[in-house]
Amino acid sequence: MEQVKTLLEDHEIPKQWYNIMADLPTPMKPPLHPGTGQPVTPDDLAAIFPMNIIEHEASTQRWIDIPEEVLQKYLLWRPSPLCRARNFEKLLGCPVKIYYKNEGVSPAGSHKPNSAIPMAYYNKVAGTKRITTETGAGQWGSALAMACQMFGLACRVYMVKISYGQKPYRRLMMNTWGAECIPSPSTLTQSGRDFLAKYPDSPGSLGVAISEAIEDAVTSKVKSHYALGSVLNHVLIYQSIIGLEAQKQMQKLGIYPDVVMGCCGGGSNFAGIAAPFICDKIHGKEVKIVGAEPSSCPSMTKGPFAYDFGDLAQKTPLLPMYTLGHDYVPAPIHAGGLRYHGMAPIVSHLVREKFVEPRAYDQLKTFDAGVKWARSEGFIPAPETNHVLAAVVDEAMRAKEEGKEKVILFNWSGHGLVDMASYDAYLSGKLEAYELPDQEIERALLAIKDFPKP
Amino acid sequence: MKTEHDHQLIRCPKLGDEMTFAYCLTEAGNLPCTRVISCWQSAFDVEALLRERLKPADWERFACAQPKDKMTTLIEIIENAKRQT
Repeated sequence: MEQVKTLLEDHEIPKQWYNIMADLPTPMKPPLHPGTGQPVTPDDLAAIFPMNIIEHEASTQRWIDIPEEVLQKYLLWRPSPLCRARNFEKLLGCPVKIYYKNEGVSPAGSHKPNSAIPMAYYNKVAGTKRITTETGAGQWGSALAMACQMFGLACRVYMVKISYGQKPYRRLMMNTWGAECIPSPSTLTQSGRDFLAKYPDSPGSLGVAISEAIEDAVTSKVKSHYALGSVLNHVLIYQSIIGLEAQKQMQKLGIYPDVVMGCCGGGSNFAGIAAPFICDKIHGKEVKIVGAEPSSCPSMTKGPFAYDFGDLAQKTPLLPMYTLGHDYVPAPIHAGGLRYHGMAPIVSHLVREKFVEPRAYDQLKTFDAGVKWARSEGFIPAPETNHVLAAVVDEAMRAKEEGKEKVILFNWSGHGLVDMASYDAYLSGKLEAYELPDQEIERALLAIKDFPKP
Repeated sequence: MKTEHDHQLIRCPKLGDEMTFAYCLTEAGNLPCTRVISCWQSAFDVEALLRERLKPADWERFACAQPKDKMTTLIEIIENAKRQT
């Protein structure tokens, strides 16, 4: 019988989170207060975060003890299984061993509770009565709703209005866990009212929802704080439980990955799986770390340069591409990758320092990979998770081209069972093929023809 | 601004939900989402469309805007909210 799952016993769950800030070869610059230009101080954030979380945000301590109360909640589904994707391997027919951490087993269906639970706990200890947050389609909002219920805190989630209508099941999950879910923009806050006065028919945006959630926390007469699902350092610290468990599980198997991969939205699940392995890499271990980002730019791999579409004022040529000389061209390693403003600064820093390789995949490629996965392994991935699956397929093809066996570890960050509308759009052909025509490539290359060549 | 691409669908990486191009065009109130070009450029020439259809002042605001990092955004919102109390 071939082994599929590698499990840890309850008592083997890691007892400390890992903070990669302790091991960065080049320290990061501290964030600056936009008004004073000085480094942000704890007092600047005290209106929205309790001091215990602010300490983690600023910490350069390598190991942070996980409180017993948090461990007890984690044990509801953690340690999450490390699984071997034998069926997917057979489908790909490449010389790879593919292992994944199944974060879809959490009650909310994704990795998000790994950080929501400590946030709720630390707020409880700090005397917070109520937490506010924003959410798009509801992955983060539902995880926080669950965590708040676990620690007896009230929770209000400002959900972007268009998603509030399109994703009723996530909203209902929040309600079932006892949270209020408010479509944003709302009339409950001044920022919501101001926005509605200008744009009464607005379907909402994350920017407005964040403003509402923070204003609510700051102005509430009940002791309230705010929580967010990604980007900031403390979130990435709490997510490290994923990679730390994976290290223990791979040690049980007696193998070490050649490649560690995760999908990158705000960076939390990616850093969760990757940070402990990046620590090994910093200390000399040979391991490739790949972040898969959602972008429809990959067609630009057909040219010698990758293009940063986020930078209109200066169209800077970035790192040169390489091709294996066949029709198959790997996704670009482009310096713009994973370095946009919505990405966790730690992840962007690690990309700049060349510890992380970014890759971009268009939506059809990602759904194609996700459906292949579902039809071989059974589990239906969250559409976000499909980005790393596209990267896994990519890496498997490289292994085949290079004639080299590889061990791939990736984070299966969540299931897609509450997101089947996305699969409906894909399967019914509503998500269009985004393939850049040759004339567009020519036009883009012409625009940068005078720039330095590699 | 109405365009011939308004009905086209994409998975929005910010929201985690399928959104039409029409949504992306007004995500920031009267300006497009800052990711509109990186998300859509390989479907059609979004940059050219925005240059053509946005008023010159709006195009300038959009093209020259430096998106803010999360910490900056949080602190600005906190300071605004404190002024309410």
